[in-house]
Order: sequence, then structure tokens, then C-alpha cells
Amino acid sequence: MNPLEIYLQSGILESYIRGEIDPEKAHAVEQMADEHDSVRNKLDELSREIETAATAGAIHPPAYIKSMVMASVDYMQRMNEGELPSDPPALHENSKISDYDQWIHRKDFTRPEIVEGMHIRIIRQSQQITTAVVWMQEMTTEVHEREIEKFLIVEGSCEVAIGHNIHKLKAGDIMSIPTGIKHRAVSTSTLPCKIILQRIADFA
Amino acid sequence: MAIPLHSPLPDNNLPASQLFKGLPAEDFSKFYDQYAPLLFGMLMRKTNNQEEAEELLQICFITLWKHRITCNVEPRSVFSWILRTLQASGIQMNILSVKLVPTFLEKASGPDFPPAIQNPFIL
Repeated sequence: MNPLEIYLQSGILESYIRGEIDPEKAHAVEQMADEHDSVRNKLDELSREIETAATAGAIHPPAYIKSMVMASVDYMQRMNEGELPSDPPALHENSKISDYDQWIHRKDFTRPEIVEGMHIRIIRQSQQITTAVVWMQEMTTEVHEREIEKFLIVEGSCEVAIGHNIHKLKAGDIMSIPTGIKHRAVSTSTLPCKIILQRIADFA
Repeated sequence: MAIPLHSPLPDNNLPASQLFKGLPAEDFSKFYDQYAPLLFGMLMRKTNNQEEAEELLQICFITLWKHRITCNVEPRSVFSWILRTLQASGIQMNILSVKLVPTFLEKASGPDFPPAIQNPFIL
């Protein structure tokens, strides 16, 4: 067996594909692939196998996860472009819509023509608290084990289901969802319901 | 939604490296659509806990966004880049580890074998 064959059968390519080797060794593998077609072909074959396996077991995540990911990406982009962080007040039972005027009326915080599920623009994100302006058409069932969720209805109306209880909310109403409680919501107004959403880490 | 196998990112023939470095969030949205179900399936089977899997999925994609500049691979190797990037970023990659099928199992798979043996990739 020549050295290249030994290399191909050493298991290092499998480890590379699974992401189990450090960056320095990964770089060495990539160099080998650049220099030897047999290494490149083997890596391609292993890549196809691993993706085929993952595809066979694919499960579609709830739509709101993508809304959250894209909102975080948007927030990181804005911060990188020099936007200064602002500090919206914490929601409480006496909060008013006008407390959030400067964010509600931001010119770049506009509703897209079509809202699939939710459209989120984050105002401030930290480990303790995330505050966002959200246009909500529908929010599928979710539960937060480590966060308290609060929201203030700004425009439109919605129904929030907590267990068998349906809560009808309109502009100015505030709701708090404790940790560990399953809930879902749907807009009942013609346009998506606009809300101020806050998620607060619950360390209790 | 059908998930294409080994295809370049949807509606785009550019190498993945250009897709990421050019950034646009719209391209990342397509990237999410293609790979989120694959990662979510793996996370669900590993954690057996939907909320934990959802939380990890968000962390995975935010990590991938932050590291997009390092994606200098061809489209057919994107999934491998995803796994390597998450591992290198300290996300517990045993969560995402996938066993590559040994040759003897390829020959052994068939209706007489339980699902875990027929498809040992499924965690």
C-alpha cells in the first residue's frame, strides 16, 4: 500500500468531514485535497454521504425560528454598520404605547408587504433582555423554559391561546407569559398585529 | 418542501464563498431554508427536546453567519463546512456527529434490519 492509500484509509478524512479535527489539521487535509485528486474525490464522496444522511432525517423547524435568526442577523448588521444601541424601557403593567414611540416610528422599521408568521426588528439584544418591534400574523405554539415573554399591542388585535384559555388583546393591552407555559397567537385584525415584544432571561 | 441533494444554494450558481462574502441577508435566508431542516433533524434526535433543539438551531445559524467569511468551499462541500465551523466554534459537535456508514452495513441493509441499521446516519 502506498503512502497516499494509507492516508486515504487512515480515517482522517472522515474526521475532517465530521468536523472533529482542529483547524490546523483541517488545513493540512485541504492542502492534500488540493494536491491529490484521489483525496478530493474521497472528500466529495464523504460529503455527499453525510448530507444524504442528514437530508433523510430532515425535520422542518417552526417558522418563527427563522424569523428570530434573520432578526438577529439584521441586528448584527446594523450594529456593525455603526448604529448605536438604544435602551428601550422594560415593559410593565402600566407601560404605554407612547413609551416606545421612538422605536415604533423608526423610518427603517417598516412592515413588509407580506408577513409570513412574524416579521421582527430587534431594538436591543443582550443576554438579559431582548426587545423588538414585531409584526405578527401568526405565532405557532412555543414555550420558553428560561425566558419570560411580555408584549404590548401597538396596532391591530390578536388572540393569544394559553392552554384552553383564549385572551383577546387590542392596542394598548399588555400580556406576560411566564416560563414553561405553552402559548400561541394569531392576529385578528386585517393587517398583522404590531407589538413591542420583550423576552427577559429568568434566572430563578 | 423537497430538499435538493447536494445542490448549490437555491437559485444561485455562485460558489458558496461568494454567496457568503457578498453577504446579503437574502442569500443567508436561502441558506437557512436549505440547511435548517437538516440540522434541526439532527438536533431533535440528539436532544429529544424541541425547545432545546430550537434554541441550538438559532445558535448554530448565528454562529454560521458570524463565520461566513471563512466559507471558501465549493457548494457541494457546504454541509461539511457547516459541521466543521460549528465544531470549531465550541458548539458541542457530538450533538451533530454523524456516523459514516461502514462498508459491511451498506451490504447488510435491507428490510430484515431495523431502521437504525438500515440507516445508521439517523441519530
